[in-house]
Amino acid sequence: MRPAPYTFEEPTNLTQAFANLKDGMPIAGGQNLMPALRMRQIDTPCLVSLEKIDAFSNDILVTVDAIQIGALTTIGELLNCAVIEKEVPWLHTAASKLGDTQVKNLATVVGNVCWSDPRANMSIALLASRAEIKVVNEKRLERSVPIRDFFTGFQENCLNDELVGSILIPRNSGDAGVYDEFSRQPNDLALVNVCVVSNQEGVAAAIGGTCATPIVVTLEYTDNVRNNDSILNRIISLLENYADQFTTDQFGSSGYKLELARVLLKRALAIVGEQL
Amino acid sequence: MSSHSISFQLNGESQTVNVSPRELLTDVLRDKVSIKSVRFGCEEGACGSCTIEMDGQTVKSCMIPAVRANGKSISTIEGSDLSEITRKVQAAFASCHALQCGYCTSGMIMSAANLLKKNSGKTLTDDEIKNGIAGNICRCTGYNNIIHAVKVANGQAEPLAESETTINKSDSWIGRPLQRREDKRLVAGKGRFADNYGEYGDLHAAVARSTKAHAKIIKIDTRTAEKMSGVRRVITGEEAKKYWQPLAPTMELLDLKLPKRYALAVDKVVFYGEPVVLVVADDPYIAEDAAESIKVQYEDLPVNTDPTATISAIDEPERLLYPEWETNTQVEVRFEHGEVNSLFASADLVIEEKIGSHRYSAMPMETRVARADYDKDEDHLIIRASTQIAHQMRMAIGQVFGIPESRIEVLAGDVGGGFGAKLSVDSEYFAVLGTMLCHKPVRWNETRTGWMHAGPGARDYHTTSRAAFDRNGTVIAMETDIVADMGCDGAERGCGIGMPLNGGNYAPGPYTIENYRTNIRCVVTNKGPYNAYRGYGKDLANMLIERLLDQAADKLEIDPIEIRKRNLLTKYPFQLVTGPIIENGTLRECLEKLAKNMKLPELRKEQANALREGRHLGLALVPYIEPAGATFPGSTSQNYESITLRIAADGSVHVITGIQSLGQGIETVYAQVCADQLGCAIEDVTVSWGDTKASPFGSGTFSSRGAMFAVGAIINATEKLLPRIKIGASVILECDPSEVVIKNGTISCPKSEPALSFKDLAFAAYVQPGAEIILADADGPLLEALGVYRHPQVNWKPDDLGRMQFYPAHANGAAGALVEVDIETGKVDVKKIWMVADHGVILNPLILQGQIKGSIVQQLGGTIYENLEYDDEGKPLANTLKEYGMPTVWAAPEIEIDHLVSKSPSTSVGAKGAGEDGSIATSTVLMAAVEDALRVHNVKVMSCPLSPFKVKEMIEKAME
Repeated sequence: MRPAPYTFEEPTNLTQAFANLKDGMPIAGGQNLMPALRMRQIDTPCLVSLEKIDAFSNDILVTVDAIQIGALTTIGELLNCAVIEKEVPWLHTAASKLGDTQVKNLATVVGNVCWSDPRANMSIALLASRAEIKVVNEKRLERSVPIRDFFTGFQENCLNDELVGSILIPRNSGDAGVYDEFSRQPNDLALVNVCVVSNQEGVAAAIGGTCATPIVVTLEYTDNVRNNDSILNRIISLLENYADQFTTDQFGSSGYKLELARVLLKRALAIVGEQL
Repeated sequence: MSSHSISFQLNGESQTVNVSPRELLTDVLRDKVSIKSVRFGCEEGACGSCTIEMDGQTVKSCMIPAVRANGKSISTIEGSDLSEITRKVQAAFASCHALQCGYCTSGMIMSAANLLKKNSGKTLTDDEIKNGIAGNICRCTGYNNIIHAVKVANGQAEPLAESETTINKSDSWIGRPLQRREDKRLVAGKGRFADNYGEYGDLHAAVARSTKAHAKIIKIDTRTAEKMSGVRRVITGEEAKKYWQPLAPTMELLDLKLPKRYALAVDKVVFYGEPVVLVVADDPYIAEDAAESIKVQYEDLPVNTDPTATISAIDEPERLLYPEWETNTQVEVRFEHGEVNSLFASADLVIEEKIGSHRYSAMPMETRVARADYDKDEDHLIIRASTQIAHQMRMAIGQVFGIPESRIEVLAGDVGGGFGAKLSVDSEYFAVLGTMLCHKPVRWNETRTGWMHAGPGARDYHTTSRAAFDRNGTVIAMETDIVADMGCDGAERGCGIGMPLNGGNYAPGPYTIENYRTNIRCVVTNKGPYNAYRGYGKDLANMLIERLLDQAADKLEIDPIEIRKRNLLTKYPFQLVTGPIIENGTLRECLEKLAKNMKLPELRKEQANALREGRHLGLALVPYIEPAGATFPGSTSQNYESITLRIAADGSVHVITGIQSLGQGIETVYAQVCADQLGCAIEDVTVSWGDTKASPFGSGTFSSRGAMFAVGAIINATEKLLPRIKIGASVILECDPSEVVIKNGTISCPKSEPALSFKDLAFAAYVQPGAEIILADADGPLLEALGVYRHPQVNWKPDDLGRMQFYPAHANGAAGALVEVDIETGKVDVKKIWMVADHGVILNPLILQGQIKGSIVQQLGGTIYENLEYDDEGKPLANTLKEYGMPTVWAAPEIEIDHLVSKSPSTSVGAKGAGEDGSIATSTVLMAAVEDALRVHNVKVMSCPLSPFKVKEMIEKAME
């Protein structure tokens, strides 16, 4: 199958871009968008390429406080970044498990988040890393959205005539962390994925694939919450609050997905415990 | 729509083309700059057949709007500036038999070469290689040889094949692991696939498909489509009735009922995705726009998705797919022999289980493709198609359109995989109707989603099976009650109806079971069509008896190998209670050899140790038979094959066959056979196929028949020509014909010098001095013969019990598996598959093993990952390869293959059919191994899929 007609714009600055986007849709790497266009699941009069916008780059900038991932940074580029591998290894793992080589070469980190699929590897790893999304609008006003407030529904997010300019990961996002996913085959769509990150204050766990949006649960460390079993139990009980929103499909029932989440979290926490 | 002029570097040269914004880079490369190595295999960027390098990075060109290639540098495998690494990978793919049909090969090589470039000089682990090529799906090879080829290209391993130029020519060619001749063009991206013959300016066909599984068509509104610029013709099923007859059935045997449907639905639709309106337009984009704009108003009818429930629809006329049948049962077959009831009543042990398998599909990487070109003035039709049966396709098209077959040419070059799914003619009619109405060439390319919804499904067996045992584990009686879900039909759009029939017929297996009853019902539901798939019900037969034997072994505490030995046939030939005759074989020996190869005691120890650590390993062994060379009365599967053998005046030898190349290596193997049998040089032999005008009528490729039927026909032709060659040579060499020796291209007589070449002799026969002198005493003047082979072990005359012999040959073997099951998630990890296979004399061990490995991974995919599931409204749940669960390189386990040889009594070479081992035994052995892994939890595994979700359900159910 092939896409329905659209025009193609390649704006070089944000003003043009937002003008084009009035009745268009942005395309970065296009690795989620192109299949949807080809299968005619979505239709747009205009594709607006973000590739040539002067304000957007594929750089990964490291400052004292944060690692900033550019709007156009690809998964492949993220994988080649030594700082990411050293300081946010769970994000590196999530990137290595995303798609295949060809997809990694084009797909962008920001695109993976913006597509807002509840199983997106980048979203899950960034949620547990407490990342901030830098959003820009037509007037070039920037706002910062904590990633846990970003997702509003299945393939829906809080962007309102806005574009994501970059994603910031705090330098001290975690002392230890693990990303893991359950898929039928590696490089396949994850059925359920989790990321667990621990820092001085506590532990953050993100769970994807169970509901229309990813779930994040955080626990502050207290004297009562120090061993893995109690952390796991607390996280699972928090997760169970969402049980009525769990989805069933041909790959598994809602109960099965909860069970997968439990198994993945247990395994991840065991490794995080060792890393600390 | 605006058009963009884009410029890019293509294989080192500048290109400038005009593209519309929505054009995919794959389309532009294929149709505007003639780069045919990039191919479509899906809509979702999963298959990787379109992989190219863009600015040094591999990307999927079907996931890129062509306009984005502006300013980029693109490399494809056609490039004359290929890197040395890419050339090494190409050579390694050929020398490791790392490709079969070749459809995915260009993309796979691009990925493998890019991996090596990025890791120059580094030794790569298996996982690193898998990670590098996981974005490229291969349906044929089972991936093992691809991984090996990457290692060879990287200097980590040795090639597997011998080359024609390095073999000592005094040896026999048969039995050598000769590198395939096909591969030279296929690794260069030059495969001759049907769509490659499309030309700029061809018209394109698309269809509007049903969005209901069962409904009356009330009204069709095509007005928007008709007004679209670039649309040449819009035609509904009702209107098309003027131009064609109902679909030509592939099978019309027994008292099976035929739907007699047209290729476009008339009055009602019977499955989701059924073609309703045909559109022909100037390009494929417009054709799809027009098809999408068509509005169809339906009136719902009750939908049948449950094959058991559909049987009872007899009292509810609205649930009948074809009311004139007065039932939803397409055919019902019963067989009974012996004292079944009384033996069940008196048995020491009765095992009864519901054994079955879900629905999945052959899913070749190339979907169904046809380009039809009708010349009205000449009244001549040429069709390029992706088919297994060029001659039968011509017959079907002739029937459906009323064109004399003598005015139809079907051409099939390289076919991107078939596996049984291209044994019928179905959507190919659209290209023909299109060209007849529009008088221009029309291309039809089935989309992957189209295949998912309306392409051939298979398996989908639901049985209740019983066996009665005495206390020693001897099967004293057996009964199988089989219901198979044909979807909308199993004999017209597809020919899968024989699968459950084989299942019932062969269920007693190679065991001495004398009392048997089977009842087989093939029923229609509102799902897509049902077609042949590699294994063809022999998989079901194997599953039924072997699963029952394992249960009995458990209950009676007999070793699973021992219970089989107690029941296995004891002498050959052996006639199954249902009629088939197993001519000879090594069933017992293969099982023993398998046990030895697997080092069972060590594995059992490993299993026990693992269990102490909480890991669940399972292992299993099953014997199997592989009935081959199917022939059925009332079908296009006939008991003969033919070839033309032609020696030209320059001494070159041409073998032209009706067997179709689908990647199984016939171009190489038939040359090996011809060189040995005729005594010519192998480099002088050319093998061609897939041309109804050039080749004698043949039955085509199915049921692993080539190694018997085509080889037999080659031998038959050489037997006709050798006496002529000897007579001709004896005149020139002045000796007696009996003294003439022909070997390796040299025709000699010990007494006279010099020897003749084939060229000397052929020129003498054709021109100087001519046939009237040198062939005056021969039975004919031509160095050309028609070779025909009929298998002597076919018998269509029923005996007193109504039994016949449809399958003339029975290869056999034994399969073993080691799996690990994660009981927390239900995930099955297949660690290793072993096989000991006996196919008679081996023609080319490299190709035989390639077939076996490929069949194992295909069936493993079907057993664990793949699923054509439907919701209650008959809507398919799988739209894409990923949703379907197509196995990637990660699914491929380690495979170890060994052989025994029992020469076939029916061809002088002694080969039996080959290529379905894995398809027949893999599901069974995996089910048994998973059950073994979960034995501590008392889990029974009686049905597929063994997906994580289903396995977890089995575990939870057993633990309740």
